[in-house]
Amino acid sequence: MNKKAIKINVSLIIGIIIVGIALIMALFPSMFTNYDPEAIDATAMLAPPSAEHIFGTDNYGRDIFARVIYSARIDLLIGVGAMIIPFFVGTALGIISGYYGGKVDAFLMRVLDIFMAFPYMVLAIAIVAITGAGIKALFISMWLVGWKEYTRLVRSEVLVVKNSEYVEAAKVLGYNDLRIIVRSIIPNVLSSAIVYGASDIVMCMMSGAAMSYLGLGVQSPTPEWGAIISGGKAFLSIAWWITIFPGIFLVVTGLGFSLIGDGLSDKLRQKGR
Amino acid sequence: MSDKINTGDVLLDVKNLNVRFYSNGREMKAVNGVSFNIKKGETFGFVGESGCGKSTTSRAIIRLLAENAKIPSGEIIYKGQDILKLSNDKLRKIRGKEIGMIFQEPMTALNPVLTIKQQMYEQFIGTNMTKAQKEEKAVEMLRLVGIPSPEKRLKEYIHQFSGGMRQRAMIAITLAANPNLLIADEPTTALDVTIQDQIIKLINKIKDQLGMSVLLITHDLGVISQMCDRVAVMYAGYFVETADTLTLFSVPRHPYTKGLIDALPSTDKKDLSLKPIKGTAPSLADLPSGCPFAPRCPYKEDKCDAELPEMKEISPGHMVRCHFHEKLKGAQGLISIDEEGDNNV
Amino acid sequence: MDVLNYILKRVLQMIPVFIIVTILIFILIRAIPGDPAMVMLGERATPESLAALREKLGLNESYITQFLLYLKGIVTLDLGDSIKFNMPVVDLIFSRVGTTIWLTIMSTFFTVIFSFIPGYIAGIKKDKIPDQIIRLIALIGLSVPSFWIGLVLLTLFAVQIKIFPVSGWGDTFIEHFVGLILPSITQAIGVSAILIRNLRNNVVDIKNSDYVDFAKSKGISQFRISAFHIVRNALIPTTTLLSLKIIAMFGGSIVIENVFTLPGIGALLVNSIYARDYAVVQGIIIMFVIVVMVINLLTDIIYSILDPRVKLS
Repeated sequence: MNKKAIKINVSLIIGIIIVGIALIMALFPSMFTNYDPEAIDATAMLAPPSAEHIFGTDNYGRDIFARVIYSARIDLLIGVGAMIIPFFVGTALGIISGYYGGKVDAFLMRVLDIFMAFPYMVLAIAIVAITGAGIKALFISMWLVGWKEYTRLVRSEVLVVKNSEYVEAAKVLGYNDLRIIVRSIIPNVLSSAIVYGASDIVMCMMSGAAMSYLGLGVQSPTPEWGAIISGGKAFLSIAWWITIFPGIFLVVTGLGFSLIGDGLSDKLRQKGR
Repeated sequence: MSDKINTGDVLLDVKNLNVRFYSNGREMKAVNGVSFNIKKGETFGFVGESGCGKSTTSRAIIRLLAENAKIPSGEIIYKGQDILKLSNDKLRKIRGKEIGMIFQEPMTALNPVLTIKQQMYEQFIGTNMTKAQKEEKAVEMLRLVGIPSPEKRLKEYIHQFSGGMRQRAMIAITLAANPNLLIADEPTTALDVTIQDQIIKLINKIKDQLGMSVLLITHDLGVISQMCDRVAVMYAGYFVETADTLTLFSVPRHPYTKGLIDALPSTDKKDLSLKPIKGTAPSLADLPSGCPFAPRCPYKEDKCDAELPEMKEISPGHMVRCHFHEKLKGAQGLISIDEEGDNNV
Repeated sequence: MDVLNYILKRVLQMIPVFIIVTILIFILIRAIPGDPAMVMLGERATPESLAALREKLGLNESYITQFLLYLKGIVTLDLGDSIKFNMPVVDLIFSRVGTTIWLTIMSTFFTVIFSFIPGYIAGIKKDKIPDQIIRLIALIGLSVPSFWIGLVLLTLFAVQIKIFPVSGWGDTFIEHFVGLILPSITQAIGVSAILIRNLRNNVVDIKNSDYVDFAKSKGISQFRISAFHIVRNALIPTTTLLSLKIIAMFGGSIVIENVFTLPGIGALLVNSIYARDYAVVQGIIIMFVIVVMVINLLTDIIYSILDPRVKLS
């Protein structure tokens, strides 16, 4: 077949493989290691990578490999969990705003303006200030911040589709709004929201890890990549392995989702042609 | 008309030009063995449906083809040198200054974020004109194409112009380099009918004034009849018929030309219904081995599928690519003339 | 004159948004569970000190009075005092914001260095080897968390090879500059990845555009075509995106300043949260909101300058 199609499949396939492995790690971490990620071992503190501890240990003697593997569960949960609610809410608001227009649209756009006035981290931190640090604060802040991009994206797509001939035709035929939205609008605007969603998972994972790194998200001893990296910061000069390995896992997992997003968007662009 | 055609000096001589496109591993035969020449002061037209290779042929003349295009064989002789063999530096000296080009859609062909002046001044790079001379020339060009208050409009952007004025502005920019040959690729297609007419008259006027030659690309036989001395009809990358305009309209000998003429709305004809040609042109990636028009041709015989007809000269200056062009002898063209060539419309 | 009118109009439009945002911040800070004075001073505070702090914070007043005092404070640039530093919040912010501004400026500089040339090359060489490599690097860049790459750079260039300071940014201008190099590069990586992809796609669209063909048909040099027709046009949306990303980099200082232990506004915000110094938290959030609004406005003005088709309205 032609070169282009093969290349697209490559990014998508590699992305799916990476995310698949991360998913297996998240679901069955004990398949990969016999160590308990939270078990303290005073006899093996800050041990460098060895046959026994392939990624070394931290200042409590905890096995970094085990911690990194067990982290996949919570990091994937943050990435997907923080993305999924804004995906549905933001898309729904975008459809409503774009389809109905008028006062509803004007109101939603003002709300959007207000949320746009906060940089992401600032709003997240404000929420943490209220709820206290932890995974709950993490999710609430990301849900509050994440929806607006979907709304903007979907709204602009709806405005295009709304004026297309087949939607006009459906209106002339007297179909009700719900039927038009479900049959004609959603199938046409969903794909761009999904492509954005793939890259949004990466952003959510990164921000979640960053918040945990700052001590405002997932708290130690729960294994989470950002929190492990944070714990390693004090030992950078003597125990680089604590910081480096979880970061690599974070990057590769993020790359997996990015590749899926890229592959999907190429595919959709081809379909559009 | 015909005596002028035979005596003029040849400015551009294209011989057996072939252009291929490669995409997704497939070869597309966009231009196939095209030969023609353009004489000084002459307007030569290409006519055909979109995708027939007429634009590609015209762009190949100044090697302005997409990255995936190749010219496997052919010669493009301009003033004694083969453009296809020129170095890039020499080619740049031909582009603009010798052969200028205007495009179909000025809104996309002019850079939206540069002023008309900036884009016109690019034509003066390499000349030793002073600032005042450039300014003077630029204003003169806008005036020549009929743009009012040229001093002011020179500083404007293309989006500030109206439809017809946009096309005039692009023509002015192209002509600012004093080309000897103007390639006009569908210059009127994007315009309203009344403005179309103005632009046609403008090009005709300037051509005579400056003594240029023009290569006109259009799908519209009406435009051909108003502008061209000679015409080539293109189909699926082939020339199927070339003749002087009068001959082509009066005694078309290729069934495709005949079909195009019959498809014209005309008040001269008693039958007012349009007769479009049935079917569609073949894919350039998958041309039939015989005559490319055979699948749509009402005069088709077995030989047509088997063998590609050669371009044959059936009368001086009138060439046709058809095994059975004799069948069309005596067929009614748009203009009725007798075989001697006296016009009696 | 047009621009001034536009700025005035936009500022007027911002006022209601700003008021709502300040109300939200007011509510947010008051929504913190428990007695703020107790939260700030801790469990073991004496009743006297608690009463004094309550008085100072105006917590004995009604919410309406508190809100009016708070609004008055914003207008008169009096956002209360920091408990931890025992100085006015506004003074504290001004003493720290310089670091963050320099960090953002240098990050922007590195972003331009990292993104413009690769983005252009990738676009020109679409689907060829250089494009594939640059796109892959950009894709990785998107997936690299800044706090981690910052620590990696620290390990390599401050701990292993001692070129840069491990923390802080020294006292002299030169030390400031050297101290900001690694943090700025760290910030620039993620943003560059976004800009490279944007610029590449713009170049791909533009290099096949009619106006580039028309420019070629004029016989002008390849350099001129690249510089004045492809690059100039492709950079318009990219520059607009960059100026929006400056907001993200300003916000990113929260993480970067923690990694590199820089005395900027982001580190101050995080530390004030740990210290429950809410007057400072509130002040910094208000400052961020103002910065976002100003940069958004500047972005629109820059866009209209770069692209004559865009009218300010």
